[in-house]
Amino acid sequence: MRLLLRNIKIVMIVFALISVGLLGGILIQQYRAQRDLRVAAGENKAILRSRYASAGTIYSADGVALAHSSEGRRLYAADATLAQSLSQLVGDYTHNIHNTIEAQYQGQLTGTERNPFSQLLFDVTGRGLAGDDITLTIDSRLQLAAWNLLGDYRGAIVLIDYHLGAIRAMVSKPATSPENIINYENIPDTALFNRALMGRYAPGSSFKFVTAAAYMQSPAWNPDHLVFCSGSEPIVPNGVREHGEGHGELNMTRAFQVSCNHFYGNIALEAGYEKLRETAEGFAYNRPLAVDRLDASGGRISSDPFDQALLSWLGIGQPLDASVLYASPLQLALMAGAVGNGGVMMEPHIVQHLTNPLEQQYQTLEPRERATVLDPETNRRVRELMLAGIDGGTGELAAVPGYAVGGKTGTAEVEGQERPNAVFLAFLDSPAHPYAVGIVCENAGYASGIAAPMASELFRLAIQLRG
Amino acid sequence: MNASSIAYLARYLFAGLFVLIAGLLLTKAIRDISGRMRRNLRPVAGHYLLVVEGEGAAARTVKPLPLFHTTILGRSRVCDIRLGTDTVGARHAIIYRFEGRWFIRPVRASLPLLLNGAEVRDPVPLADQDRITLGEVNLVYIQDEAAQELLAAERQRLYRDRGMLPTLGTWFWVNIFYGALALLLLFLLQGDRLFLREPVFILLVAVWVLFNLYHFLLPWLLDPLDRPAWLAMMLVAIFGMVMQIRFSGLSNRLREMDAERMANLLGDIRIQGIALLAGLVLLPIVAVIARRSRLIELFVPVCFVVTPLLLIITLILGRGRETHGASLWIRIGGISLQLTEFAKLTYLVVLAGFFKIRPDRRVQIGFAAWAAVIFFLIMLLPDLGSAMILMMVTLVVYVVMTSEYLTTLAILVAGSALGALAFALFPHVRARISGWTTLWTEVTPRNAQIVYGLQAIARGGLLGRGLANGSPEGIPLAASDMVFAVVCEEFGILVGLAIVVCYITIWLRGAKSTMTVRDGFTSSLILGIVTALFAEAAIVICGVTGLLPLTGATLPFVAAGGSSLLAKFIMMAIYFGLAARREEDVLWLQPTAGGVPLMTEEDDGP
Repeated sequence: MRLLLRNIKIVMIVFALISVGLLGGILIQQYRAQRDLRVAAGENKAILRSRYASAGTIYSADGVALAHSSEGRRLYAADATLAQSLSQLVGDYTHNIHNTIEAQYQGQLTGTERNPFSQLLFDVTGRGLAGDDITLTIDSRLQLAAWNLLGDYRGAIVLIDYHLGAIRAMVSKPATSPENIINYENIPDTALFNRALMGRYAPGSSFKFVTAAAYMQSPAWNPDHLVFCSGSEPIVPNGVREHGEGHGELNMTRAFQVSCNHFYGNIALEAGYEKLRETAEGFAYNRPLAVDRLDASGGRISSDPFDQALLSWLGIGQPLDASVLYASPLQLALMAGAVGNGGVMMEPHIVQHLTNPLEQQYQTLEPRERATVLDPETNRRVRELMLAGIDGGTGELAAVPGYAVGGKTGTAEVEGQERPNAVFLAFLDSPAHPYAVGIVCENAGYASGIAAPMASELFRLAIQLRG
Repeated sequence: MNASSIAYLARYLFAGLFVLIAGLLLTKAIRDISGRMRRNLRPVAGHYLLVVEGEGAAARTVKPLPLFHTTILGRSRVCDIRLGTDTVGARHAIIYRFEGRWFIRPVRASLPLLLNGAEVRDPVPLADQDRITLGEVNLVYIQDEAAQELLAAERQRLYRDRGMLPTLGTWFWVNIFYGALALLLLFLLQGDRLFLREPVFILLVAVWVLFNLYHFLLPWLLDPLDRPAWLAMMLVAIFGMVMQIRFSGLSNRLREMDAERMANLLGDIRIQGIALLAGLVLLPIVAVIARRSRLIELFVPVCFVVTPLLLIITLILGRGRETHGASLWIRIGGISLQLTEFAKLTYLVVLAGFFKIRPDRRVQIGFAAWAAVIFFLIMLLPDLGSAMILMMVTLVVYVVMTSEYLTTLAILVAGSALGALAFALFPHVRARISGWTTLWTEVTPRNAQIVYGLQAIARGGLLGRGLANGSPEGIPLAASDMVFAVVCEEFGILVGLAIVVCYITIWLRGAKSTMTVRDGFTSSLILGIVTALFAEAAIVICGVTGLLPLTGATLPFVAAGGSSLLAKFIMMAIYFGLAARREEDVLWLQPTAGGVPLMTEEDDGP
């Protein structure tokens, strides 16, 4: 009996240890799961559907529901075209696209990232299970217009408000319906890829205003600099050359209007690679870019600093073998917007505000400067250059009657592509209508005839909507 | 306010009540057991030994010695009766009780032991006035019938006043909890599930009536009832029933369902409900049989044969019906039975039969051979979960009853080797382990179930998402193997921990009963039952939370499965019956010249 009792005591100690280990282990595993597994890939649809069963609504800035939950189902914009145009931005509850509002704001939409006190408050008011609503800066009418304007081209259009940094429209083609994404079927090639945010396009001639800014800020700056354009003869061995006859002798403004490669290759050499890179970095190249919680690709520039031929090509926005130069459509719009905004680039935003179940707004968009790109004097000169680029330049078709528009066309050669990419960036020079646009049409041809009219249409609608 | 938000709001109530009840039960169990630990030696009344000096007519009684349900006599300090002469072995003889009779045998056959002058090697029953000789010590065994009758009357008086822990408050809270949970469940059955309300209501009321009836009837029938264990079991069982109704009745409630699937919902509820009601109806019958008769002791040889038979039947009839790498189900006339659940119970009975006292080597080896056959059959199934549980139980009972620490260690090592063998032999075990090692880094088909479960646990947070707001549709085997994850998602980690506390409570109550019952067989069977229950719960919870690379066991009283539920109820019924055996003879009559002073529970034995 004495032995039995002693043995039971031993066993009891062992069981006490096991019990404490078990209770502690459960807590630790929950903590680890909350930290590591909450948004893990490979979640299955049934779990996600139930998790989004009472998730919040995603609204556009003009109050259109872009995604909402009803009777346990997650529904997307009622207008099928609108839903398709936003499929890569709003996303899908199955998270087949990761870089979306649905995926990145899952905690807010499902209301699982609240602190216990506000949760208790919502619980008491009976709204504890409801998620938070998200209002985007997207205007559904501009979004639809942009979608229609892009037509059958692959590519992207981004329209921003350059005072606030708010993205008003963002389309990327090809895209497909949310249903197809959720079921993962009938998805056209690359339709899950958000070109507007993540596309990496050579800017082509649209980069020339950066080259001009670099030259203006360099010691070699001469306002009356003249260059003789001799056509197809390269300015340095393997360097930049012009198609056809050549433009003859021209100054900076005229060269901008006709988009002369000789001139801009020349001033790139005058300014030097370091100055060009420095100026581009002023425009936030080589820096990470994020739109609230979404990832975006900004721009990148790099080259062999001693290779003059590569430098002359970079001056007209064309990367070659050893050099790198690209920008996303969003970055193009931001660059144009920075010039329109007095040389200050704003941080891009997509979320206007979040609304909790008690109708309180939080995380309201606060305009924030991303970078001071140019000093006011240089910016004034660059702005005039860009205004000339539309008024009497290659970007003529982007003009809006009664308003000043500044911009630059670009036509970027892409290896293995039949036709060049049409690239266009522009801003509306009006404090009441601070819009800037970045457009890329893949495999399209010349930007002046294709992309510039799209910008004009979009600006007109934006002006009309704001009244 | 819709149904979901009401369920969501109610989570505060359920978490609060569940934690309160589990906390009350645990504190009661701990307080009680620590009290028992202090006054741990409890002699049996009416039976004792007298030390005698001299022979024949010159014999005179020197002093009386108490007897316990298992009494070891010898020189060693661990012996219950220490005899301080060199002619006695360190552990010389054992006197023990079995089936109400007293036996004596030497610890080892070589030790000299005389009973009425005849040498004893195997257990021999004792009779009143039997003379026992160990070396040069002479003892007389006394069976005092008169004292026993006296005690019976005294016991009646004592138990009217006390003897049962005050559990009225806990019982009240369990009723509140049950009522609130039942109301919410009935409320949630709306829309196209409205037709389920009536059968579910009937089931809920039936269980409620039986629970309250038994709460007051069983103490009278069993005299007494281990109420903390009873309440802990019923709390978990009630909770499990609601979860099972939720799994069949409230899953996919937001999706379109055809008529055939709707009709199946009722069928699922019916199976679980019938098993639960059958368990509740059988409970008092089995408990009373265990309490009032020696039937279980008589069943030891039957169980000895039946245990391997059950496994062999499952092996033969279950072929080709493999689920998740194991075939544990057999079908008889449309009813699926999991005979292995009952085999566990019969195994425990055999285990207790062998280790009712410290058996000698021969018997131990005999048991090892039998157990080897059982484990071999279980591995053939293969049912690794049951193998683990039975291994744990065997070890615990073995070490407690025999004090063979070294052998226990050796068995542990052998068990680990068996595990390694399983790893090498069964591909589904290998897959499980490889899935477990990559649990936090990648989701593969091998560990997706656990990852989804952990995600559900993470979503639940502290208080959960409310009844029927979780996502069992997305977790494979949510109602059976993964039920703990869904509980944590819908009721929060607090309730998850409180469920574990309920199992701990039952185990502690069992450990306490092991110390207070009146014979070794009862002790070891109680220990086996509560350890099996705890081990099963611990293993399945460790598996679900990714603490161990295991699944396949069912969470007792909560997981789906009629056979498992019924077997668990029978196990607990036997426990309640056995644990009640304790109080009968707790008083020790100290013989003195003339009067018969009583030593009550509060006093330490000599």
